Amino acid sequence: MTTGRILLGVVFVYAAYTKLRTSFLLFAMAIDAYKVMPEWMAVAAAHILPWVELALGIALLVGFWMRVTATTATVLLAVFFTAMVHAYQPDPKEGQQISCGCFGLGEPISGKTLLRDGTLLALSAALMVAAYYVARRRRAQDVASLPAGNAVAQ
Amino acid sequence: MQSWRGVGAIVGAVALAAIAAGAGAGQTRPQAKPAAEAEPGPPEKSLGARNAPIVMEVFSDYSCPVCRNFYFTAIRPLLEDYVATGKLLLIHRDFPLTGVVGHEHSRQAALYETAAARIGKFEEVDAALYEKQAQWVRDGNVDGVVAAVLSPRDMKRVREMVEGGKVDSYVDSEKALGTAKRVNSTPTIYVTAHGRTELVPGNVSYSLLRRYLDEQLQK
Repeated sequence: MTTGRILLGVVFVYAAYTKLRTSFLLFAMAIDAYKVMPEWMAVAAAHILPWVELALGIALLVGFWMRVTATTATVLLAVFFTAMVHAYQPDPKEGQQISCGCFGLGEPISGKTLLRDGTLLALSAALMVAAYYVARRRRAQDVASLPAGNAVAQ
Repeated sequence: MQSWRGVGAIVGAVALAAIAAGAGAGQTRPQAKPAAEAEPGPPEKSLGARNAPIVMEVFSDYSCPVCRNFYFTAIRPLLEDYVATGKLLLIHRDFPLTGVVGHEHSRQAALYETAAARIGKFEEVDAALYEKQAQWVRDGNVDGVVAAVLSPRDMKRVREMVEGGKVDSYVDSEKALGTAKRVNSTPTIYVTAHGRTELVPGNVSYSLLRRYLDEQLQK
């Protein structure tokens, strides 16, 4: 679980870095190219998403609030992946070759990017499940370690 | 567990510092030379002042419907809003797609347009090829579409260049340039400003493109 969250954390921080180092409008254009939301929403998402990615990345690296962090990361990755699958064109030649936008522009949606992002989604989902499992086990252990009277009261 | 958290915290702090440094460096970037000096384009197919602060290079295929849409929704207003006012140098690069259904006459269109550009008639032929795209893509009569917008004398010169193979190497070199820049679909747009070149999505809306260009101009 530790290796997984550090790996995912690094990916999120890197993704945030690639977007924050250039104009947010480039990312807005990449989002707008998917044509799944109005332009104003694409602009708002371009403003907010990189910072959300950065916060998630750091939270994953530190192991902070793992259940919330892993769940948020999984939901975010699921939304990205769904949009990519929707926009995927197996053999695009004319303009519809939409940029993934995952780590900046210039990387078209392809089988390779779908596989990569699908793997990250699976990793995040596994991390989420593990976080809830670990939390549940800890709670059970905490209850078991209480004196008999307190356990009954719980 | 505690030691891993410490490692994670250190990695996070380093990442944050790197991002902050990157953002700071962007703001203290020294004055770049005019972008046009960094990206010399073919004079015949370049529109605008050579010392414009922004250069936009568009790799396109005349058979491509998205290129046509980009021409009418973005290029046309760009010519008025940015090129005519000296803010942008627009460079057209031909990237005729090969082996794609519906693009059998793309190269022919590029040859005619390049020949027309050589005699100073680029804009007229550029517009005509996009306006009549559906027609010549279907029947292959690129010559007829170009002839309709040129004088007989100009058309004779264009035909001589096309039939004599005088512009083939030029179109090939533009295609090779696009391939070297990893162009593999059209339109592909590169914007250079402040010494930095960025790839812009091909099916971008003009309003977002405008905001981006204005942002570059204000830097």
